[in-house]
Amino acid sequence: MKDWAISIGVVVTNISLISLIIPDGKMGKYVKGMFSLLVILVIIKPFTGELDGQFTLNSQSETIQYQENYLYYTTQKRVENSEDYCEKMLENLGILHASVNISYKIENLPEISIKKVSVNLKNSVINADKEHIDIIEQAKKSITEYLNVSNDVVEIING
Amino acid sequence: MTKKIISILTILLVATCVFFNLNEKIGYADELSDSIEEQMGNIDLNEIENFFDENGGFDNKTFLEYVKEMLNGKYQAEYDNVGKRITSVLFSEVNKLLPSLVSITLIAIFCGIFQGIRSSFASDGVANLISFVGLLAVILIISLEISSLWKDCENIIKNIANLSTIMSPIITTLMVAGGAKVSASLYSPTVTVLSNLIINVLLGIALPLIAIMIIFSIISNFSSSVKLSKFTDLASSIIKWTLGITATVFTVFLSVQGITSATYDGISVKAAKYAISNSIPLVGGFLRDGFDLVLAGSVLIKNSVGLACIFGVINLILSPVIKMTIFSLILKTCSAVTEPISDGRISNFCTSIAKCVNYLLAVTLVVGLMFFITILLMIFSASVFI
Repeated sequence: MKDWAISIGVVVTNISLISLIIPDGKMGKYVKGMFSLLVILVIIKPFTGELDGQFTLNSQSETIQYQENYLYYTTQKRVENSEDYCEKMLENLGILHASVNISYKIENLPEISIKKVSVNLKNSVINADKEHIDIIEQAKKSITEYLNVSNDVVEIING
Repeated sequence: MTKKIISILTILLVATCVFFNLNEKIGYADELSDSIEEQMGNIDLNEIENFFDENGGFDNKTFLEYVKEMLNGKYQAEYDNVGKRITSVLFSEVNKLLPSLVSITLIAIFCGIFQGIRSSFASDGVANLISFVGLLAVILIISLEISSLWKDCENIIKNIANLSTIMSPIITTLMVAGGAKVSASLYSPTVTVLSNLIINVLLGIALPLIAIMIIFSIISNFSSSVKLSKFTDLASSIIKWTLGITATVFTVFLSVQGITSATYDGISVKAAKYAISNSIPLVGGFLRDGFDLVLAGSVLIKNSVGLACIFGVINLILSPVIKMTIFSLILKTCSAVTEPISDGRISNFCTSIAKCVNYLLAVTLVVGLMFFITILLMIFSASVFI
């Protein structure tokens, strides 16, 4: 591009200087006409190369790479939050000090598939008001519905 | 047509801000501060920080400091500083270019006076030579400034391409973490198209054509025997069509895509919330808030990072845009002042170069506006459901 611009500049400067010097006569018109043709040739010279199909726009289609560390972190955090909420849910149902552990597999960040939900009732205490109802089944059903998993994924570990 | 394109893009930008309510999603970090602190520790923003450290963009603070201020709700727009910066750049450019204006006017006056009195003591050849030398001096004065403006425009385009390449993985990661997976997957190719194809079109077609226009303007006015004004008009038309088609297609495609993906993600998240809150009526409200904690933190960080980048880019392009505007006005002033006193070549030359500077300004603004619209849509279309 720079070379092309310099060549045009040099040709035009020379032509302008020569046009000033040559006398205005019958031959003057033809000389100026030839100079014009020369300028046109210099201008279109780079484009004759491009017409061979060599001109391409360099467009690379790259896929964007996510920051996987951050996605792992947020996924893990949301699983921890889900475990906390399951424990709160059990407290509301009357089961105190239960612990919930979710085992999962990462399918396609941030989507996960839950493999197993362990509800550990070894150190838990059931609220006296709720002792007459089948609270364990109710707890299992609530966790199953919340996590949207099948019944056999939830494992209750009794004390 | 170029002015129409810029007007349309500006209206779209303002509409995006109004529609998505610019201030709504920033500053709620008080309730989420712990979660956000943790999440900020896990996301890598060093590349963006290094970019702004190398290229400028933030005067008093670093990029991370801006983001943290926005997250804490302590950010206050420094309109005074922005106003002072604009006026300082304005006056410094006018002071810098005023000697050029005076020089060009004096050259035109000298050539004009000599043309008027040449019949007494000089031949036509000598008179033409004097005009030739006068025009050459004017070309030399203007060409230095215009080549630096052309390089500024090229650097801005390359910097915006680099920034969008650096930013897009971070913003799309935050979009995915914030629950907008569909939006992220739709915006990923769009950002790639912006940073690769469109930038290459502007660098490969628009900028070289502007350089051709500048060269042909010089040649047309330099030599009366070489006439290239129609070539210049051809280059001008190609630039207008390139900018118009690129900006229109990109903006329409991006807007439709953004609205569609936002609706899909919004419905998906709302469906999930509805399912949770309806299946466990006792603690539905609590669970819904808990589920939002990580989402909301990601969304806030995404919004803050995106807006901080926009402010940084505004700072980056502000000075060159003001320079180009002032230079164009100075050239038009030169043209107006020299028209009655010279033979017209200097005046026509100044007008044609002013037109080329306007195209440089248009390319810079179009690239900047496309970047802003992309980032704003990525920020706000993935936040409507929080």
